[in-house]
Amino acid sequence: MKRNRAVLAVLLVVVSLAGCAARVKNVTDLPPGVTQKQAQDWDAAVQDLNKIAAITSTARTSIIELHTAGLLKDGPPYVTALTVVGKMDELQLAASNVLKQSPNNFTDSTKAKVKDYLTQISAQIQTLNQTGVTGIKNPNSQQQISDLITQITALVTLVLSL
Amino acid sequence: MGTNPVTPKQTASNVLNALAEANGYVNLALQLGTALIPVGKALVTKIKDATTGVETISYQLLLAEDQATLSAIDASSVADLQAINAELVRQGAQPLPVPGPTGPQG
Repeated sequence: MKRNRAVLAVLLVVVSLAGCAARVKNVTDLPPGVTQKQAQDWDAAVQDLNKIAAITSTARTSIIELHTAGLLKDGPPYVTALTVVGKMDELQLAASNVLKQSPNNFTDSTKAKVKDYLTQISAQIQTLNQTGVTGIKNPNSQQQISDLITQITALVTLVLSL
Repeated sequence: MGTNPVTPKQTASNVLNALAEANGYVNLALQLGTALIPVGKALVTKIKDATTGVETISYQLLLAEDQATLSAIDASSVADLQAINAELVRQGAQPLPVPGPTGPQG
């Protein structure tokens, strides 16, 4: 019971942290050919991806903790939840690799690649929502995972709007 | 009389600490009578306006900070995948491929 409360507390903290969009910065000493907006959009995408990664990591920890506590049993829902979160991690790595190309390459085509990975993360979230969460029998824990899903969806929307 | 006003010493200390942490250039000068005597430069590239909350940052520092953030994202994602794969193997399921993070590009 104590473990469940700890998991829920961590979830609440992460959810509250994820609520704020990346703050716009004024970037100076831009090299030739790099616009203020390119640098700001790149920074916003990096910061939002960082928040998504933090929530994904919390979701991974929470799902394993729920399983350890017996609130998520062995079987397909647990495997699905793990697989979905793992695929989100793979997509985060792919998006991170694109963003490492730096703001001077944050053109429309680069931005489109990042958005494509984020769209795929969004699709994985829907799978987690439809399949993985159903395996969690405790309503409070189920609600907390649903809240994480909502937060990631909101952050993905922010990046897609860049 | 219950207020605790900020002393000039505390304010100067805070400013100097902020400058030391900011890691950029700023001109420093002493006013002697009506003359302004330059005394050197300090490094400052990141300034946060306390009233507006807008952060001004040099492109190079932005790059350095965000590349470090991306490296942290990579580390976190790889750690997740390794933990997930350990669980998937326990469940008798196929583990996921763990792509290696790449270094900064471009």
